[in-house]
Amino acid sequence: MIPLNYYLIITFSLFFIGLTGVMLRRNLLMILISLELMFNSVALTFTIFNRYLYPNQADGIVYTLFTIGIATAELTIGLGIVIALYRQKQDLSINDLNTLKH
Amino acid sequence: MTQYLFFITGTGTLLFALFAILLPLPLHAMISAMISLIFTAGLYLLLSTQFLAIVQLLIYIGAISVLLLFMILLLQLNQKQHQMRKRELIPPLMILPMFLLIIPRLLTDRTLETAPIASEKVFSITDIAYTIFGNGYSISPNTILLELLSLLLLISIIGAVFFAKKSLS
Repeated sequence: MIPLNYYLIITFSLFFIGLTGVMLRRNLLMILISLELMFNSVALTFTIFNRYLYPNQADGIVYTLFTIGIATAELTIGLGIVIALYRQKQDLSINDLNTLKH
Repeated sequence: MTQYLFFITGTGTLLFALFAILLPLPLHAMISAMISLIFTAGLYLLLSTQFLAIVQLLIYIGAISVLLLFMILLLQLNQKQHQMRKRELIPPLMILPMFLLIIPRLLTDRTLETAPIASEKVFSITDIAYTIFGNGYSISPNTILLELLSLLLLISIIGAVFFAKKSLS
């Protein structure tokens, strides 16, 4: 059987890759994709801890479902902002994006 | 056999996630992210949570990723390459020590190694529904979370309509 460590290494690396993507990329859509990767890793972590530490309960599985729902809500708002910005600027680079300030 | 499957799916997940953040075009990056999510469904299968694997395939890939893919295809992004400046590399390099500190800790932690083996018990959809809604004799606190989540989805729908309707001026 696979130890708990290996699963945790995979999810932590996945979260770190997503975080690096958020900080590295300058495109708003790329930031949304990286956020999806981070949400995916968090959802996987809930299930892993449930399966290893509390094998007779299903609460972690339920929280994974809730996390997927929250990811959907976040993406909805994000895509709304993307559409509004694209209508105004025809450009999704966040370098010259200061409309949301103040 | 399980070890090989775990190695293949884990490596595939991380490799295509790396492709997803490093490929320059958003279309290619999104397709790589979708492949990474499919490999994650394989990880759910290895944890013997078949229901979550199906949910991952249906909702994450079938709904969320396809929505993002359509958005990338709809918006005519200008193809000019962004010149990466030196100082844009500073934030990722600043969080790199966190990664390098935690990974050896995860590899050598004795308390995690003594964690029991993952169970093979498969939860049916009935068990998951009981966990959310309670079993008829007691109310589960997860019910309130479900109501809050439905409220959050409603608010996000209203917000998306509001954002997409008129431009920020």
